[in-house]
Amino acid sequence: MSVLDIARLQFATTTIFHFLFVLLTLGLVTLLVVLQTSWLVTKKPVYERMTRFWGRLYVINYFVGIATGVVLELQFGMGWSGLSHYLGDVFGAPLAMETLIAFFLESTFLGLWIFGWGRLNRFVHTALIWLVAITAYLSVFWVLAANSFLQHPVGYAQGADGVIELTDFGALLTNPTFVVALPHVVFAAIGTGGFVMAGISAWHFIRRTPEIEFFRKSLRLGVVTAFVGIFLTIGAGFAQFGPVGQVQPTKFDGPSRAGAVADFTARFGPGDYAPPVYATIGLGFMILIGMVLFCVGLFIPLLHRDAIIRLQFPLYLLLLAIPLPFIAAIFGWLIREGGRQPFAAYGLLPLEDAITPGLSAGSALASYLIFTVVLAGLAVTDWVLIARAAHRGPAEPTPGALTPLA
Amino acid sequence: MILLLAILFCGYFILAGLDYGVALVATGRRELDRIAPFFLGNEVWLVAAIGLLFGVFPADEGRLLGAYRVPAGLALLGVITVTATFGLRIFARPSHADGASGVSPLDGVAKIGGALAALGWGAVLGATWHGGPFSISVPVVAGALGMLAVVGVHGWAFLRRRWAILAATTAVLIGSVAVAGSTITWHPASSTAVDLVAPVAYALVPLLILIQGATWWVFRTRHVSEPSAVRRTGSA
Repeated sequence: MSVLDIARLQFATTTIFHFLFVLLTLGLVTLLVVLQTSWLVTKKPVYERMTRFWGRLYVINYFVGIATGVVLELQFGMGWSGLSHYLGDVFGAPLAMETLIAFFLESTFLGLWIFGWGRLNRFVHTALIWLVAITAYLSVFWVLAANSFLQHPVGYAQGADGVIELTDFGALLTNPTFVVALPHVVFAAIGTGGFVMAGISAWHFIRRTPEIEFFRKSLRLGVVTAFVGIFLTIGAGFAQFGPVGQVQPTKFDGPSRAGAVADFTARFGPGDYAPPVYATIGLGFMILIGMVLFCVGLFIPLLHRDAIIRLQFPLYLLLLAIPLPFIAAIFGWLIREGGRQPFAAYGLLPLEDAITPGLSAGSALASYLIFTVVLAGLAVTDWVLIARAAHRGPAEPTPGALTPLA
Repeated sequence: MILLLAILFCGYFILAGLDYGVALVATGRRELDRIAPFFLGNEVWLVAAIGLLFGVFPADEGRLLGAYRVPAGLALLGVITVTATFGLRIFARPSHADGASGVSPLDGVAKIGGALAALGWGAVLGATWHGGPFSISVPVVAGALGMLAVVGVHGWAFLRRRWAILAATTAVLIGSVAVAGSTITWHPASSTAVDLVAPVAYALVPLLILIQGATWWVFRTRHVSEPSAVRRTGSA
C-alpha cells in the first residue's frame, strides 16, 4: 500500500466513525427538542422523564462524537497539508464558521443544559436545548458547504502556482452539490433518531417493561419520526442524481462520463477517473436499505389501538432495523467521497498534491493503526454504554444534574 | 486576527489545561467532578482555535500541523482519551462498583490521557519555537516536560483552590503560547476569506468568553456531589 492509500484509508476511517456519532446526535437532539418543549407546555412528568432518558443516551453519544471530530479537524493539516496549502483559502472559511458559530456554541450550551437541570429556570433550560439543536444543524450546514466545495469547486480563482483564492462566498452556498445534499443529510439524521428511539422502545416492550406509558409514547414518536425522516431522505436522495451527475460526470455511468474522463486525462495525465468499485456498490446497497426502511410506513396504521405492540413481530423488526440507517449512511458517504476520486477537489486538485509532503509509509501506517484502534475502542465502549443505559430504562433514584450522580 | 487566534489558543491551554491537570492529579470521582460542569466548554476551545487558524491562516495551519504531526498526534490521542474518559466516567456508571473512595480504573486512563495531551502540546510549542522540521531537540523535550509540570500544578491549584498559584500557571501558559507564536511568520488568507471570517470571529469570541463566564457563575457554588454550605444548614 502506498502512503497515499494509507492516508486516504485513515481519513475515510475517521470520517466514518465521526459521522456515525453525528447521525445519532442530530437525530436525538431533534427529538429532545420535541420532548422538552412538550414538557414545558403540558407539564406532564412523563415528558420530563423521556427528556432525561433519551437525553442521557444523547450525551453519552455526544462525547465520542467530539473525540472523533477533533481528530478529523486536525487530520486536514496533519495528513493533508497540501489541501490546506492549495485549497485552504476557500476550504478554511466554512470550516472556521462551523467551529466558531456552530460547534463551539453548541457544546457550551450543551454543558449548561446538562448541568443546569433544576438550577436553571425551566424556560431558560428548554431554550438551551433549542439552541443546542439549532447550532447542531448549523454545524451540518457549514461542514457540508466545505465538503461540497471539494465535490464541485466554485467561487475561486487559481493563481499561477496552483494556489486558489476565494472570490465568491455566495457561490459556495448555491453550489448544487450542497443545496441538494443538505436536506438529504438532515432528514437521514432525523430518520436515524426515529429508528433508534423506536427500536429501543420496541426492545423494552419485548422485555415486558412496566413503563408502558413511557415507551408507548417513545415508540409512537420514534415510528412517526422514522417514517417522515426516511420518506424525505429518499426524496432528497433521488433529487441529487440530476445535479450531481451534471457537475460530476464521472460519478455516475452516463453519456458525459467518457468526455469527462478524456478531459481529465488531458489535464492531469492518464489515471483511473471512474469511481471505485466500493462506491458504486455502496450506492446500490444504500438505496436498497432505504427502500427497506421506507416500509416502516406500514407500521403507522398499526399504531391504532397499539396493534404494533400487541402483534409483537413489528417490535422485533424495529429492533433489528436500528443499525440499518447507520449502514446506509456509510454507503452514502462512500459514493459521495469515492465518486470524487482521484481528486481532493474534483477536477481541480489531484490527491497526490493534497497529501502532506514527506510522509513516510511507516509513520502513516503507525498513525493509522494507532488512531483506528483508539477510535474503535472508544466507539465500541460508547455503544456498549449507550446500550446499557438504554436497557436500564428511565428509572432514576432522584432527579438532579443529568448524570447518575444522584 | 493574530490577537484573536492568541486568545483562543491561550484560552484553550488555560481552560483545557485545567481538565488535563485535574485528570493528572485527581484522586477520585469527587475531585474529577469539580471540573465536570466546565469540561465540555473547556475542551472545545481547541476546535475553535484550529478552526480559526484554518480559516485565516490556512497555509500556516497546513505547514505547522503537517510538520509537527507527530507531537500533535500524540497530543490528540491524549485529548480524545481525556474527553472520552471524562464523558464516559461521568455520564455512564460502569456496572462494577467504583469503590468507596470513588476511584475507578478509568481514572488511570484519564491520567495517561492528560499526560499525553500535556507532553504533546508542549512538544508542539517547543518545536514551533525551535522552527524547522520536527526532531527530538532540547526545546521539544523541554517544552514537553515543562508543559507536563505546569499543567499538573495548574490542575492541582484548581483543586486546592490556590488561586495565586493558578494565576501564576495561567501566566506561564499565556507566555508559552506567546513565545511560540511570536516565532511564526504568518501568511494570512485572501482578503475575501479574511473579511468573511474576521467579523464572525470578532463577534463570537467575546460572546463565547461571556458564556464561559456565565457557566462558571452558574456553577460557582460547590458541585452537587460535594457537601455544600449553600445547600444545607450546618457545617459543610
